Amino acid sequence: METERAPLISLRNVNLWYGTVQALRDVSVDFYQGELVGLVGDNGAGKTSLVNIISGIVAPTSGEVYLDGQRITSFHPKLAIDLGVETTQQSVGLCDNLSIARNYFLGREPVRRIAGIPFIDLGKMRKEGRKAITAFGLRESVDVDGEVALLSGGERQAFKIARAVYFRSRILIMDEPTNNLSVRERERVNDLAVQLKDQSLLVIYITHDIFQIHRIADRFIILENGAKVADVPRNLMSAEDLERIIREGVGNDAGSPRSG
Amino acid sequence: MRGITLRFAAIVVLLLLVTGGNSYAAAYKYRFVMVSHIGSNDPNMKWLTLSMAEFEKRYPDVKTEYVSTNEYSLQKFVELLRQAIATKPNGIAVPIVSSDALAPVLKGAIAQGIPVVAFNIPDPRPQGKRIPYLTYVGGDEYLAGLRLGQHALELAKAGKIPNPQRVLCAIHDAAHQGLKLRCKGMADAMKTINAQVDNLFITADPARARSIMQSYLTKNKSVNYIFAVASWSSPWAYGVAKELGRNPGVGASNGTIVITVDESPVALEGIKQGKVLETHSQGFWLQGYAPMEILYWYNNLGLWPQADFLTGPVIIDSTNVGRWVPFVRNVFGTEYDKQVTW
Amino acid sequence: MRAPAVGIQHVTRPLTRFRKRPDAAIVLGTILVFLVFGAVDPESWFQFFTMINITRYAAILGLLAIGQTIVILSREIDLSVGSVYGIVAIAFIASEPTLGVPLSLLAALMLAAAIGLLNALLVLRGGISSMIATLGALFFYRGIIYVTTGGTVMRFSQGARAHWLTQAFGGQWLRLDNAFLWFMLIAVLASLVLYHSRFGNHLLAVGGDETTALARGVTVVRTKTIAFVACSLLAGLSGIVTIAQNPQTHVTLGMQLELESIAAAVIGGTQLGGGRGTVLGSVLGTFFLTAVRSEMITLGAPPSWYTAFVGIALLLGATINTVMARRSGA
Ligand SMILES: Nc1ncnc2c1ncn2[C@@H]1O[C@H](COP(=O)(O)OP(=O)(O)OP(=O)(O)O)[C@@H](O)[C@H]1O
Ligand SMILES: [Mg+2]
Repeated sequence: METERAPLISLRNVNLWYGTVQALRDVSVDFYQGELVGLVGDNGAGKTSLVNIISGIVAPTSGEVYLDGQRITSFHPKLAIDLGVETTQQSVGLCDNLSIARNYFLGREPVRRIAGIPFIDLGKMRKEGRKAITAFGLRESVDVDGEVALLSGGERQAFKIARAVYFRSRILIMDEPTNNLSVRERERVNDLAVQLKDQSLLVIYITHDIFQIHRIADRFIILENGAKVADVPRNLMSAEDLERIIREGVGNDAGSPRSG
Repeated sequence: MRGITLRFAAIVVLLLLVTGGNSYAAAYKYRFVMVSHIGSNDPNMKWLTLSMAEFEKRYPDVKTEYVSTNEYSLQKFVELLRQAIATKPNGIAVPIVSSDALAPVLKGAIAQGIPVVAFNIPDPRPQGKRIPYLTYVGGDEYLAGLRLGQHALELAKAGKIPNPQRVLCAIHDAAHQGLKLRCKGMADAMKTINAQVDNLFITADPARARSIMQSYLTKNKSVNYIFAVASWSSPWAYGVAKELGRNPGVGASNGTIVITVDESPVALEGIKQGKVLETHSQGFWLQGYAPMEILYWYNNLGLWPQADFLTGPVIIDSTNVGRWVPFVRNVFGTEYDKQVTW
Repeated sequence: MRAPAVGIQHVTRPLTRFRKRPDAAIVLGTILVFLVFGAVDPESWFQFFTMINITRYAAILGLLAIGQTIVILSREIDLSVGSVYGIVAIAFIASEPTLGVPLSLLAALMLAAAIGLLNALLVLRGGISSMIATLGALFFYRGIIYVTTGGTVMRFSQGARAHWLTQAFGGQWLRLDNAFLWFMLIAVLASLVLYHSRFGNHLLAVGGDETTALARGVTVVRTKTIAFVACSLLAGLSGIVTIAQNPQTHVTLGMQLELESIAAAVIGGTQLGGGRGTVLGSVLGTFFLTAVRSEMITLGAPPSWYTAFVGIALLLGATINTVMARRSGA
């Protein structure tokens, strides 16, 4: 890891409260361009909360967030998208009622002016959508004008990744992208994640499948009860160790004995 | 701060009550209360309040009060009535908006010796079974329809207007029994010459009502009389007939005759302009005045009315509309012209 | 993975595509109704007056239904449109003597927009469900009508009726009501906005999946606010058109139009769950309801039956639309 490089995203002493629940505790972490980071931890550990800050869905209660060394002061999904942050979650990201072409460009619809009136450029949306379908290995029979509700889980993820690539995102956040996917589709999504990293994107990958992430990630960040408990490169920790730490915890080692 | 204001207000109210009570005792022999369902947002209220003011002028020893509310609910009305009874007036005039809900309250008042006159709406049950009020002062929905129909037939017989072939009775509120009674009266009048009367529920929304009447009239070409049982819907009926080329008016050569109800500005002006044949009055003015008079006679001279006092229908057409206009203008004031929607 | 049957697909495509449309049922339903009525009752059905009557009421109801459709597409509902229709029209009449026609028209439309904005505020900032907030608005504005008018509506002056602007809404052109032309124009505009503008795409996304829309950078609150304002404006416009056409009115103006507007939208294939529906469907739903009522009266059914009919058509329409949506594989 070349630590001299300036981080792409940097969180400093970030705390996040949802009412009386503290989802993040004093988290400081750096992410670099061109790396695939596995973000792991138990249910409710704060993984989604952490990436929600990066993708502008929530603002931290306290602490600082830097992107390219610039302090981020206002948090909104639109701003994050404009800054090149894309998020793919299993359940979020596609509107079932809209066509594939429309989903592809949702929020960033291309516009064609006819007599000065801005119409969305459906032709372009269709064309690019169709390109994505072939380039990212969706079924040939998938219709760009069909509702996305017709896509399989893996196709949905692939499609969202295609979209991130198309819009030249610099950061791709994948929050449990392989839930409910077949082995084969999971493979394809993981391959895509690695490909994007190779194209020097920052990929933040959240999953509960430790062995799977251990194969592809460069580095792991482990969260526990909202706090960062480990930040290790892959070569310094085996998948088994990683799993053990998540299962048994770090902070609880001495105090409360947890017998599994 | 708030406490002080409240206390101050309470003292003022107390003082007012004490002095007010004294002045009642000193200035008036009798106090009559009209508890009404006609609120200040209903232009008809003025008929009652003005005629009661007229009554006070004639009898300086009587104090009359008119109480009503704008948000009408049966519950609120009963509450209002209870409050009025609690002040122990020398007489009460009240519409029987619901015989079931009002019976216990009114029977209690009558038992206390407070005489009650029903106005505007009677207890529909037969005498003996109905609430034992002194008498009913008001109109009769059935008779209104019957007399309007009979008068139209007389005019038709005299050749002044066409004979009714078939009559449309346009009802805006399907649940209102009174409106159906008006149509029933009209139907019974028309029965004598075997002219059919169709009841049509037109709804209260003007656009929809016009559309419904138009559909009906397009199909039923023989209909040449329209009875609009609310005066505000008479311009709609006229307009639809006109649009369909049915030549509405009040002459022998006209194709459609429009008849309506109430002595409202829109009805009277319709007659003046030759668009409406006739309307009726249920004697609203008398419904304010006569109950007071009866209560006074009961209290002072021992009158027990032997029958109900029907204040209508009075038939108004082009021959007497000239006398009604100034009378109604006097009641409505500047509102009169605003209400003419022709 | 199945091998794609490219050739066959091209043959079946237009039909499949049509079946997938949310408004497929109402397109067929309306055609059927017009054919059946024409066959059963040609004598009154093909009359000029029947057609004028249907198009006139359809224009009024249709403007409301288009607004309602926009709000329903955003996954909200507006129960206040009947009262807004009434209060805006009455405000137009009431302010005309002092402001004159152009300014009072503007003022009335501003009132409509303000009411829409307030509805949106209550729902989006106040967190009240749109069902409750706009039900409150329904009663509130009807109450305001009663209080301010004293129970009867003043007349729309003769001069104002003749004004060119009033005529632009209430007059006729080539024997067609201008109101109807406005309705058609707005239907086309609304269709374009819904399906060919960024706002439209955002509206459909918000109605389909609000979280996703938000995550894709769509400003949900702004989008829904525009929907509420547009709906109120269209309701107000409908009221103004009604008055311009037929100045004889009453405080009952617009009563129960909210239910009819929702019925027209739902029968037209707009799904109350949001995100799915078309303007064309709602326009046809409006024609369907208006035509059926007219014909029911013509055939001698008591108009009170119509209320029951709307209920049946609503249930039937919703069922057919759901079944067709499922069949087409959604
Ligand atoms: N919107 C919210 N309101 C209140 N509490 C929340 C909210 N979102 C998350 N939390 C709480 O914050 C904590 C962290 O949640 P978070 O979703 O970040 O966990 P996670 O690590 O993503 O869990 P999982 O693996 O189950 O997805 C949990 O206790 C959760 O209940
Ligand atoms: Mg999570």
